Order: sequence, then C-alpha cells, then structure tokens
Amino acid sequence: MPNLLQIDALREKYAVRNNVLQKEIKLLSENFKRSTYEIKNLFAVSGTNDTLVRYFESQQSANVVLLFIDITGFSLKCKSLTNNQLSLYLDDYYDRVITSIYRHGGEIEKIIGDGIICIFGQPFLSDSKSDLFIKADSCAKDVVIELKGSDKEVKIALHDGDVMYYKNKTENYPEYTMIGKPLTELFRLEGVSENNSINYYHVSQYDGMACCQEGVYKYSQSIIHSYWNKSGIVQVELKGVDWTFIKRFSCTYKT
Amino acid sequence: MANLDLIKRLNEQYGKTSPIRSATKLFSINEAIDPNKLEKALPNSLASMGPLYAGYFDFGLPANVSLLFIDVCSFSTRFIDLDGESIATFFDNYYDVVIPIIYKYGGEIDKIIGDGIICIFGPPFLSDDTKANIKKANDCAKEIIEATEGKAYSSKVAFHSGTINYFKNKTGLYKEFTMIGKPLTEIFRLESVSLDERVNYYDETPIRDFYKERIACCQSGNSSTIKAEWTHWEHTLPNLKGVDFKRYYSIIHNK
Repeated sequence: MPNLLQIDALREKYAVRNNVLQKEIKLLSENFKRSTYEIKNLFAVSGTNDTLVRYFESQQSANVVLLFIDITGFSLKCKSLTNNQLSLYLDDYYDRVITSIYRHGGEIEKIIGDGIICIFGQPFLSDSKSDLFIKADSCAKDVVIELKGSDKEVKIALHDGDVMYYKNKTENYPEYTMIGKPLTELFRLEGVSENNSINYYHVSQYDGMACCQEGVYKYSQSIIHSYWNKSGIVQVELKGVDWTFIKRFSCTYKT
Repeated sequence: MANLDLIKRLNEQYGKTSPIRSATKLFSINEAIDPNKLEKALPNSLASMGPLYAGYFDFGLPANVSLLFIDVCSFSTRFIDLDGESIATFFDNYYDVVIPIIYKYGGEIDKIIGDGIICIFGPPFLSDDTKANIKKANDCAKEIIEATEGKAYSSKVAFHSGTINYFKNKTGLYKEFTMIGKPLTEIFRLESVSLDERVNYYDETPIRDFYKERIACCQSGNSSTIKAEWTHWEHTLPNLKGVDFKRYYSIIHNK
C-alpha cells in the first residue's frame, strides 16, 4: 500500500482532510498501467496537481510521521467471536479509528486485520515536520480516548523518517508499497507497545514537543477530557533497530 | 489478504492452476473503482470456487495452516541507496526466485509487504492434513534458503502453524480476506527475532514435533555415515508481547 482502490473506497465512506483530491486518486488509478512519462503528461494536460505523481511515480523521498494502531490483546478477544460477530466488531473499530485518522489529515497505508498503519506527510500533507507530529499526536490521542474503556482498547506506535513509495507493477492492482527503515522500526516498536499509550523511540523529536508533555488533552469531538502521563525511558532490544530505549505517553484517565 | 485479485494475478504470472485463477473475474481498473460491481462479483466468485472456498472465506471456518514469513536479510539497511527503478527491478527478480518455490510446494501468497512475503500452506488452498502441510512448508522454506543464500536476495524465514480464520474485509477492497488469529501475531513476532539465512520456528509446536520425529529417525540410523544437511540451534526468546513461547529454534544450512 497505499493501495489506490482502498484509498478511493475509504474516501467514499469517510470524510478526509488532506491535500490529495479524489479525482487525483482516480486519475492515477485509471492510468496505473501507463508509463511514468505518460502519467506525468496526463496530469499536466488535465491541469491536475502532480504531487501524487512526484511521490508515487518519480519516487521522491517523503519525510513522514507514521502511526501503527492495533487492538490490545486482539487475538484473545476475537477467539470467542463468530465470523459475523468479528465482522461487526471490526467494522465498528474501523469506523471509529479511520474517522479519527481522516479528521486529522492522515491517510491509510495498510490494514492488517486489527492493525492499521497510517501516514501523516507527503503526498497527502505538506505541513512542516512539527505540524505533522501535532496532527499525528492529536489523532493518536483521539483514538486512545475514543476506545479507552471499551472492548477495543488500543496501543499505538508513533515513528517518523524518510520513506519511498515503490510502484507495484501488478496489473489491476494499483498499489504503491511504502519502503524504508522507518517502517521496519515501526513494526518493531509495535511489538513492545503498551495499552492506551503512544509509544515512541526516546530520540524522537516528538518527545520534546509541547503536545508530548504531561497534562490534560481535550478530545476533538466532544467535551471528554483526558490526562496523559509520560514514562521514563524503557529499555528494549529490537532487531534491526539502532535505539535501545523507548518512552510511553499514556492516557491514565478520561472524564 | 488473501486478496483474490493478487492471488489470481500471481497464479497466472507464475503458472499455478487454482480455483481462484479460474473463477475470479478481474475487472479493468475503471470497473474496479466501482464498488457496486465488486460487491456483486465477490459472492459469484466464491460460489464458483466450490464449497471448500465458500466455507472458509464466506462462513469463516477455522483453518489449520502452516505459515511462512519470508524476507530479505537487512533489506532496509543494505539497499538504502537504491533508486525507485532499481528497487522495482530488485523486487521483480526476488519475487521471480521465491514465488515459484512457494507454488512448487502448493503454498499460496497471503500478503506481500515489499520484501516481506507471507504465504499459507493449508485450507482452502491445500486439503492435506496438518503434518503434510508442515512438511510442504518445511521443504519450501529450506529451498528458499538454499536458493538465496550468499546472494543479494539472501533471506530468512519465520515458520509457524496454527488455527486462523479468514475475515471478509469490508473497508473497500471487496475481494480481500484478512487472516485473523494468534498465529499471525506470533509469526510477526518470530520474524522480528529471526536469524539471517535460517528457518526459524518456535519450540513446543507441531513444527517442533515434526522435526523431532525426523531427527530421531536420522539418529536411529548409522550416525557415523550421516552428514546432516541442516542443523537446528536452540535459542531463548526475548520477551515478545502476545507470545507465550519461551524458546525458538533456527535451522542453518550446512553448505
């Protein structure tokens, strides 16, 4: 991913707030099999914004913030559910999480069962890095608050870095695979993430930002208030990761 | 996944015969972005694949499967300098090596995440018993290690088995089935500690039992004349979230 068909279908269902318009996704989807040169020309001739083309077709490197959101203890929770119950359970989960992601301008990179990886950054958002962190932080906090106390409590891994979108040449399957070390690091971080927390590497710029300081956060969609508490450094040993410490920013209560 | 379009396309490209290949209708991309067409197409496709496929995909019957998570050793760090075109070529060549081996042993592709390939040996794609599926996955894993060792595509394999369900994903990709179950979490965690150019598997699983039987068989012969082609090494697992196993093994090829 990003899989253009999935992005397009999700946008039909949920309202998104980012730079990329549905018509740009459609134009790229419909011409996926064409060469990069032809696609560039098509965008130029139709006067369509070519940001998507620059990142997806010309492989311009993108500095992004990523969230990996998944349900804590999902395998155990879903064990007792019938397929129909599981379907309802996950549909409700997707509705609540994807709505929050889109509200803050994020885009869906990949859905693996209960695991949702989303991107804040190019080509979907052109904000400064600090603003990308602020959007990802608000999204992560909203998701944690939304689901805290329900049967779908989540843990979130937050990471950032340079990625590239590689064009999957599969016919009829317009997918651009995100590649780069930050993605491996995000997967590893997810493996040690804790419930109702935003988990990040201690060296992250996020750690020093105002949005990552202990205190009260007001949920974007209602008058719910929450309190967030930061852990000290936690030692981890993660293969393929240069850092050995992470931190956890946890929602300790909501009103 | 399993995404039926992807499976069909790969089946065609690498010459595999399957009900999915013959029964799934691929839409043009213009048609594919019309969700009404896909929603109608899915039940028709499932019905023509036979009751086995309908049972697992439509009714979510539990499936006892063997899983392989194959990926290139240190891909993110070794190939950080490749440009988009070179990465595309690299992946194409890598898939050309690995996917035919998976198909040779009856496996099916569940997911491709850049250099990571998750494949399934079991229902509805294979109708053998658990032990036979483990054997096929074992043969496949070892052949992949042999075919890639010392080369640019040098790989590692995480090997696991257990019961999963296929859940019909309604988020937009209407022909996609997400595999759900604890074995999936466990294989992702195993991949995170897997050793390069080895097949890695957990202790106290049917896979360990399968190997113990084979090792016992070899040892009962004349050991002085047997030169083992593969050696099993025992390792202590670090604390992996959601994983109850304490130890894992890696199998190294004695070149």
